[in-house]
Amino acid sequence: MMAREEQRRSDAERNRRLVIEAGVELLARDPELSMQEVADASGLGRSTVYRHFPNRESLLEAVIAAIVDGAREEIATAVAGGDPEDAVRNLSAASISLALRFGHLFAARDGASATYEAFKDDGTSPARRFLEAARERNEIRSDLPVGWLRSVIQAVTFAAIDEIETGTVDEGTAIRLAGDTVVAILLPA
Amino acid sequence: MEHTGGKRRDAAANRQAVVDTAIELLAEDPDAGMAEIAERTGLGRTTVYRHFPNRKALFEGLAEEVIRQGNSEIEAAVAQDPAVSAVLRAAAAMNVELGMRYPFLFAHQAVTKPALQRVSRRGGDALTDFLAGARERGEVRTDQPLRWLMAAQLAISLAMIGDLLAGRIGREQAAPFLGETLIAMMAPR
Repeated sequence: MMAREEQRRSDAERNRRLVIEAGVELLARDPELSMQEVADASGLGRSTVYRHFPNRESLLEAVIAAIVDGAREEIATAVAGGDPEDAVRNLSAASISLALRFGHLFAARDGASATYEAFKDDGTSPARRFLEAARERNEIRSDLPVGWLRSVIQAVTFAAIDEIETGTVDEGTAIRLAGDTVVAILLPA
Repeated sequence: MEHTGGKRRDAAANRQAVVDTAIELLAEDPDAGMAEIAERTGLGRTTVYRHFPNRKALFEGLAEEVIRQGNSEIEAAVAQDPAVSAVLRAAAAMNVELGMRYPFLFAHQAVTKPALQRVSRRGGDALTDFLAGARERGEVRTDQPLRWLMAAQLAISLAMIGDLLAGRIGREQAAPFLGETLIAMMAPR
């Protein structure tokens, strides 16, 4: 009995994960996520999807939460190295890569505010924690507030995305240019 | 001939009237549409649409006006002190001032940013011209294309206006913080 109950529970967890993973992948391509598409992409039936998520809103919420968790993990990994210049450069590259995959979610009407709220700096974001710690260690300049430095990284990220999307430069060049700019601004002169 | 000249003068005056009205109306309501602008101008929709067939064209006209207003300030700054740092501090103060005077620049940055970039690339933007010269003299970093430097400075300036409007940065700090940021990003490497 116990074994079957455990099996049932682990199947349910696996299915839930599959649904969310399918949702993340679909949402990266098309913000108009539908329950049917998710059911098809996850390889599970509609009824299974509905068992875990009674409606589109609850699914969207879980998918966005997964995207935000993934984004925070990517940022945390990017800044994990010891060298401050590498860390700042990697932080810039990671935010461009995230914006390329998920940037349109901010522009999309549906679910945009939820995404924005979730991404908004709540003071615990790995980027902010890194910048504050690096500033304590005098590895980044201390005459500009950390909040502004985050805004700078975001602005440079969007400038890089514009240049990629208009075909002015390729992705690698844009990442290099943005990294050089962010390093020049954040590191002490 | 005289007749044509008069017509041309009227057309230029009408065009300017549309630009002035649009700026005035957009300051009150950043979401004001073409129809409202036409109505407020009192010139009739046909005349307005002849000068600006769509919103994109209108925003380009507004970008030209904003750049024209900025040019005299940049020229005055260069005449007073042609050092790159001095001119960038003046440019930062000017960008903050223009951003506060014309809130539609930030509110509609998806449209205004490319419009400002197109207009400044066509020539006649004093800051771009100054930085191009400084770059040739090696006073601005030469390892990055001027186009990227201008795109990044515009994105960063708009970010400062956003932080200022959202109350994340105080009015007194905005220009000096932006100035130091632009100086760091442009400095030769």
